[in-house]
Amino acid sequence: MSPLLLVEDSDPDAEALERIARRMPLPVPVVRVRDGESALDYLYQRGAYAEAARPVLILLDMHMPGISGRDVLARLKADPHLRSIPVIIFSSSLAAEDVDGAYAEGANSYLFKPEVGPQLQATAEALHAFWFKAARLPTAEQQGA
Amino acid sequence: MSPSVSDADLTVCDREPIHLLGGIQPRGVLVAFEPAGGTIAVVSANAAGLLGAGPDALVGQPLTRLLPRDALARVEAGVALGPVNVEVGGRRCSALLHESDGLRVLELEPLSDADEDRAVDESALGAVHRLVSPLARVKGAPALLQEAANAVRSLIGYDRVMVYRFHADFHGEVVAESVRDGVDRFMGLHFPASDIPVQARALYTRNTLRLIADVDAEVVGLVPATLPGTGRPLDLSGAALRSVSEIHLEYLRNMGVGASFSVSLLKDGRLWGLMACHHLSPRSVSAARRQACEVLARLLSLQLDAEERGMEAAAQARRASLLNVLVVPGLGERSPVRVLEAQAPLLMDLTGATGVALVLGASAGLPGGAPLLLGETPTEAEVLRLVSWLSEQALPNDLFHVDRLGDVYAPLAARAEVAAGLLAVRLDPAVPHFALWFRPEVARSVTWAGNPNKPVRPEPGHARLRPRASFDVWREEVRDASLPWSAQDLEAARALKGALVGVMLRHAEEVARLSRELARSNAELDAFGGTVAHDLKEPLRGILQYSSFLQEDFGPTLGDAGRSQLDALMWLAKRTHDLLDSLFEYSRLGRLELAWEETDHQALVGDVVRTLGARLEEGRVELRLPRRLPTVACDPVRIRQVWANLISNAAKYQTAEPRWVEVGYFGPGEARPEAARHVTAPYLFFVKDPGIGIAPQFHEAIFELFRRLHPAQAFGGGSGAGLAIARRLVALHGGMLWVDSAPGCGSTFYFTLGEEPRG
Repeated sequence: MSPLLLVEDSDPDAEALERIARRMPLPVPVVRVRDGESALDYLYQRGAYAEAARPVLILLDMHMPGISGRDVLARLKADPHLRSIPVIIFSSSLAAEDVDGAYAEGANSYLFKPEVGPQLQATAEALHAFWFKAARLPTAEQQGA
Repeated sequence: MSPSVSDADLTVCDREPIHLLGGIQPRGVLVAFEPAGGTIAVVSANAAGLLGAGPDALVGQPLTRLLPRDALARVEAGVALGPVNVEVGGRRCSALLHESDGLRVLELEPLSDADEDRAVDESALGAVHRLVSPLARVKGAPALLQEAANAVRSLIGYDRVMVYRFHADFHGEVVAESVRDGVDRFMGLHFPASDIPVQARALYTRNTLRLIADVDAEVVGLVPATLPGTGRPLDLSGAALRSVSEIHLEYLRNMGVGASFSVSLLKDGRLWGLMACHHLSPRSVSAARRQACEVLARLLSLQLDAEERGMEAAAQARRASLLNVLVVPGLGERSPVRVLEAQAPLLMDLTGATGVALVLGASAGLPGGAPLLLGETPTEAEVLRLVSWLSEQALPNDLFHVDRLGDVYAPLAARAEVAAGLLAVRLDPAVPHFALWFRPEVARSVTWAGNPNKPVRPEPGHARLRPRASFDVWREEVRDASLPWSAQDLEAARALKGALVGVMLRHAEEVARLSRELARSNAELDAFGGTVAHDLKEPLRGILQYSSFLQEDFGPTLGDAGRSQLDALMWLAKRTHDLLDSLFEYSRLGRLELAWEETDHQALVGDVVRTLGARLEEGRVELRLPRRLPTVACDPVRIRQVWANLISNAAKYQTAEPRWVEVGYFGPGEARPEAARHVTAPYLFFVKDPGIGIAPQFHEAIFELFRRLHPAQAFGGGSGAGLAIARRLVALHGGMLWVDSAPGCGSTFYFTLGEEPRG
């Protein structure tokens, strides 16, 4: 089953999203990795992620130690096999340069990581309504040659 | 008993033909004769006493009847150098000879045994020697004048010798004085110009010596009284024996003077002063001694001229050194204001002012572009009002000078004690930057070396004809006037303008360099701030997340105490989180690029009020907008934030009903409140509330980041960054944001906006 890949270094944020996803419920499982390096390992099925399923959607935190979200995004969008996977940036930054920079790198949308509480619930619901109900996601085919 | 003089007589003073009074003093005899044939044409009525023959017997006769041809030849040869001693009618006389009305005028004064020429020569020589000694030069003008007064007194033995100096407006001042013990001093007195009328000054220029040996002496007429050729009395302009105006005699008698002698002090052919000598009883001065005094006077004039040139050169050097101080490189480390403050004495010296105000705008280094005030000046508010008036005047060559400021600018009419005189130079055609020099009313700078409280004996005659009365008249004349500004003063002001503009320019370069450095460190700070804010927020988000999980999962089982503790924990975390957000936002302001556009502030505030609507209604706060706000250029996004912060603050910090917030502005040329007196920006916005107010000691503190005056939970809480951010946003626009308030009296926040930087 193709999952939603959540790339998030913050445990509480990740946990909150997972809780919301469970409660909705989201039609796909959520797989979480902690940092950019793990995200790339997962997508390229390296190391511990040799058997990883190709995600239908990537929720990517911008602000991470090590390889930043932006680097991961650039790598994905430069890869003809991976660039069709929609990448949703999930960031606590509202700075124009971050937003514009993300789209310039090929992000499919940019969500503001809202305050804790009902706001987060609403954002998650909007995400669910758009990507899993209104939008058509790419078919999970053509695994890396 | 002399006839008294009336006011009417005083006013005709200026018109009295004092050279045609047709009389001489009785101490000598006058004989005028034809230059060609030597026939006697005019003889003074007292001739018989000295010459043994009356006028009737002499007129028409050849001069040789009185004076042998060789004696006349000696007089003619020697008179250019001074009086010549001759024997007339068996008496030794000093003879003077000059021409007038086409006649040769011979004046004979009998010599007494006391007139020992050699003694005169010695004392005169001694005086001359002292006067030209290097010592006198070193001591400067006052010592020189004093030395001259002493020398003249020792020569003529009078009770009082004054050196009397004319100012540019011809009023006189006693600048040196030598008196016998117990005689009134007049040192420091000023006299109105009318005391020595125009035609007297003209006469004093032509004929430099005047002796009145006895103020009560009968005037001796001339025979004939009028010349057949001219139909008027012989012109006595050049005569040493000329009798003087009755008004002048009255004046002297009122002063208690019995004899008077004066010597003109000339410079470049102009009358610049007098040596005025008084004796309390009648006393004559021989022609030889008068001559010696004249030589002294000439020497004194020359010395003072040299002295003045030296002082002028020294003043020029001082001015040059000031300008040098201002234009040397490396001043950039100090703001122009500091540099100028350190040069305060020189700045005043530059134009002989007692106060200087420099209005140089915000870049000079004083907060709010306040003027730099040095010495005795009007208040800051008065100076700023004066500058705004000046900036509307057409100033030829950017200069303005006046010695009666009150006549042209009423608001300072009552401030003659500091600002009777104003010299202003405009430094920048685009902005109202000025250098202003002030001088007080001249009468205030006048001293009286004598005893002004000494009761004046009521004397006969007109009250006006006494020195102190004269002094009072003069004081009245110069009320509210300063000493006039000289051409050199104006020149110095112009020179300073160039230097100041240079200083400000160099300072601007320095500021630009500093701000480049600042920008670099700001960028680093921003990056740091961003990182810090994010990294610190992370754990707080975590605390909030887990607390909310706890609430969701275990809320019902926690019990009331547990739930309230969890609430408190979340409130604190949330608050800290918001603080960091503010810090982050504040730190980003440094990098802000403003998007300027013409902005309708009415629409902007309307938008803010709609956003705040619920909060205003909830607090039952009425928004008052007495008149439509103007359109002023700014970055509307940022200034919207300022309006929002000010209006929500104003709504927040109120307790008593009715609650209201007033939003308004002052436009160009409109009168502004005292708290905004230093503002030159065309538009001044304000947000006013009747709320709890702010004590003066916190008027600046409230703009500091995270500085709170109230407990965090009071008044709806706030991170304490709002005003700091608002002030920084306004500052980015080149404007100012400040508050005027007092506890319990509400607050008014004012702000201005600068202009979009060109280029």
